[in-house]
Amino acid sequence: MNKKLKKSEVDQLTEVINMGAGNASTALSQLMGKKVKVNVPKITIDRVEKITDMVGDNKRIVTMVLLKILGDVTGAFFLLFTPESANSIIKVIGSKYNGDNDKDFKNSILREVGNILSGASLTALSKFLNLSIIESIPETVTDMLGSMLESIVAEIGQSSEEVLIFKVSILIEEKEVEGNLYYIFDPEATTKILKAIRSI
Amino acid sequence: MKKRIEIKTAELAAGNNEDIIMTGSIGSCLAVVLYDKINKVGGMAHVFLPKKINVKQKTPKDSPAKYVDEGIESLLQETIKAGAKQENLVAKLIGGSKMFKVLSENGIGEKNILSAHKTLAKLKIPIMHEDTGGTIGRIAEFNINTGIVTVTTKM
Repeated sequence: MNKKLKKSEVDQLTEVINMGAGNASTALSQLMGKKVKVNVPKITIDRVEKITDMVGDNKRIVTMVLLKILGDVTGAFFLLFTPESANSIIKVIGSKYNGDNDKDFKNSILREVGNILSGASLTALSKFLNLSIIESIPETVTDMLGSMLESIVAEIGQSSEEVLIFKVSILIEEKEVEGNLYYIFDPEATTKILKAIRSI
Repeated sequence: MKKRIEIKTAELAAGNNEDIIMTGSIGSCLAVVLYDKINKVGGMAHVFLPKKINVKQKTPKDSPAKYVDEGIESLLQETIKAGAKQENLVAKLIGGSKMFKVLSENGIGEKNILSAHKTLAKLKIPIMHEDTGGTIGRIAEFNINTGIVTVTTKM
């Protein structure tokens, strides 16, 4: 793979991710009892070491829920929120349960949100593409965005020079909570997905 | 004139007593600092992966400080070019943390630290101080005039 994916290929990939993100947002909407708006996925392909440059202020603090993607394709899926947005989500969902409202409880809500969203999204992709896509258990970390991105992309950098990233912005209405879903794939995974699209 | 140089991932810079070199968003990466305190010359590299791997795709030239081993050697050359003497140099290492447990078991951060130790030993540059490992991100700022490296964390 190189930076010159054909336009038709970009369109096909975007369409597939769009479908996955649509499912994720439906799941989030049901979970929260709020309307959730999803934007069209934005695709970026670049050298692994350039990724931390693409997010603007990479020293800002964010809350991330990360799952590793395993199986026929390798990569990562993560949700990104400002700590304030993450708290709003925790509040809405947490109010339905009797928790201690401590850090463990809050993190477990976020991890569960990660699980549900990735499950909804990746199961749809897996079925549509007829590929085995498995996700790891989720992990929640709050820290500098650049430090986290760098660590995720370094994994992919161990075996490839480039990485493909889809970013999908979501907006939870009423709450005005914004967040982003990210899908990261290595070039091999991208090739496999494209091949799977063609054979549908 | 005082210069403030910010380097990004896989970049490096060297300078003299008027310069401050900083880098943010250090996660599993390492910021490697070389310092000659007699001549007040030093440099910093933000290295990304332990060493070059066999990759399938053909891509343009690598960034100068993508790999720990190559990056430290390039940093040494640049620091000498800026006026340092190799026999005066000491090293400081910042970063190499394990931000996520779900990522690979033998973390890249740890491999980066090991690779840096190996490369610096080969070049006979002693490590004066290390702030490495752990699970959080770091920002490093190197004041070449004083030789002090300030490490900031946000958690």
